[in-house]
Amino acid sequence: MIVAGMKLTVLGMVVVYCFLLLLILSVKISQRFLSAGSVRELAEMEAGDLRRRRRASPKTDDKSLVVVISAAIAAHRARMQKRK
Amino acid sequence: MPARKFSAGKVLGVGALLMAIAVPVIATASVGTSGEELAPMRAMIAEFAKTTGIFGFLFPASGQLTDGLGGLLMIAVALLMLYLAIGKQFEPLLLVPMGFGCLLANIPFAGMTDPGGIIYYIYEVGIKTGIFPLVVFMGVGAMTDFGPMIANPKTALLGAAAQFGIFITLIGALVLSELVPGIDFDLFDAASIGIIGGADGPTAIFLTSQLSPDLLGAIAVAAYSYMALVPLIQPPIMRALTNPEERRIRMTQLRYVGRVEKIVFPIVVLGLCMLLLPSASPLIGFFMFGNLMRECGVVERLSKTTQNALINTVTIFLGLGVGSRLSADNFLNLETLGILLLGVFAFSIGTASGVIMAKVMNRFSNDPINPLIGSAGVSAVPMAARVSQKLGIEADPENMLLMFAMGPNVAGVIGSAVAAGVLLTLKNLMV
Repeated sequence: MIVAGMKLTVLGMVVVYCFLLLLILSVKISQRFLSAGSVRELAEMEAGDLRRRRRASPKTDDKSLVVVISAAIAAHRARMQKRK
Repeated sequence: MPARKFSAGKVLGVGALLMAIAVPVIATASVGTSGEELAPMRAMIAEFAKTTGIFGFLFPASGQLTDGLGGLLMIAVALLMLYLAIGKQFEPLLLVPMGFGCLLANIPFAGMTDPGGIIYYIYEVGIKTGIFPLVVFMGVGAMTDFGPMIANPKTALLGAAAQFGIFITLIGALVLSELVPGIDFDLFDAASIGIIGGADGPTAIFLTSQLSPDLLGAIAVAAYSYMALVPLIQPPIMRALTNPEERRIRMTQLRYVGRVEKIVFPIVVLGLCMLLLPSASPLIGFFMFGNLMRECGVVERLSKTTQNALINTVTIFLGLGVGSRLSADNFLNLETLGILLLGVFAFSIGTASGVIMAKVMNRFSNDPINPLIGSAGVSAVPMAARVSQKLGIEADPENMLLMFAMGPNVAGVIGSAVAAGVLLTLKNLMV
């Protein structure tokens, strides 16, 4: 019986390894044909993210920038007037 | 609608007709029962006492007190399972229904596991036929992301190596059978015990229900208990087989895997199964069907149902059905002790072979491989991958191994399904 178990072990492990090796091969082959699509998909996702970020952030950034610049100009003018 | 045409008089007429039929039937029944006389009070009490659980435990139908005490012991086992599930949170989703199923199955005179009883039908319809484990496997497929494995396919070899646990345990069961009197496992039993090493509950239940249904209770308990104990069983083996330097190895970033690649993957796996190992197609087929529903993106509702409502419903009945196999004559014997011992052995061998394989691959591979991810090849998704992550962080707090470990982890599920497919052909391999 133990010998039968050993035979089954050899058969089983050979089949498991063959199956997964073939799976690796199949994944690599499909990667060759499909990875360009994946790269494109990632680029589109990143571009979409960037667009969303730009759309979400510029309003607040511009406002604060305008406020900061206006404050700086006002301060500069006030300083210049004092000197005069 | 025809009902709207009925006038009030007609409705009353139908009611009167029903009364005319029903009253004589009830009258006949009451006449029939009133004709029989009850036994004297003393005899009635004595007969009633014989139908109580206390009598059933003390004076079982077999006439042997040990059988009655066995039932009580099984109730203690059921309560222990409930305690582990509720108090210690060991695989509660399965141990709660399983423990309760065991309680129900051991109630004397309830007959729930006899033909006609509800749990009998749950077992016969759902487990003996293999339907429940396959539906659960479909849900597991719908929850699985094969992205990390597709991004780094060579980690699938770690999933293959961890299956050594299954086959070495199979030999171990046969050796135990030769050496220990009172333990008598045949090849089918040994194959069913070995599959505990696959660390995959539905696969273990499916294979055992087909090859060795008598051992189903003990094997399911061992499989799920050890899966819950993965965080305790694996780390000492992983530490013993690796040095701190190996545990600190950083792996290269995984590439992004697109939607089309993920959709093609389940079809490729099923194609391989179709060509090489059709006996594994119930398991792999349902697993990949669940995964295709998840990845294709057009059946969101089906995918969500499979991942939640369906798998939860079936898990309840799977647990009750498996629990019903936990009867004293099936469970309280030396063989159960052997199965519990072999179960922990299976997990340990699977973990060790995964780690050793990762070390070998690291030596020959251009990209570094952290040996800690090898242990995740034993399935037990995602617990085993979390253990790899935890040990990786212990060695280097900035080394995140979780996503790398998910590759061998999901490959291990495929590997154990393939191993089960080989073991299912056992009936054809016998001379």
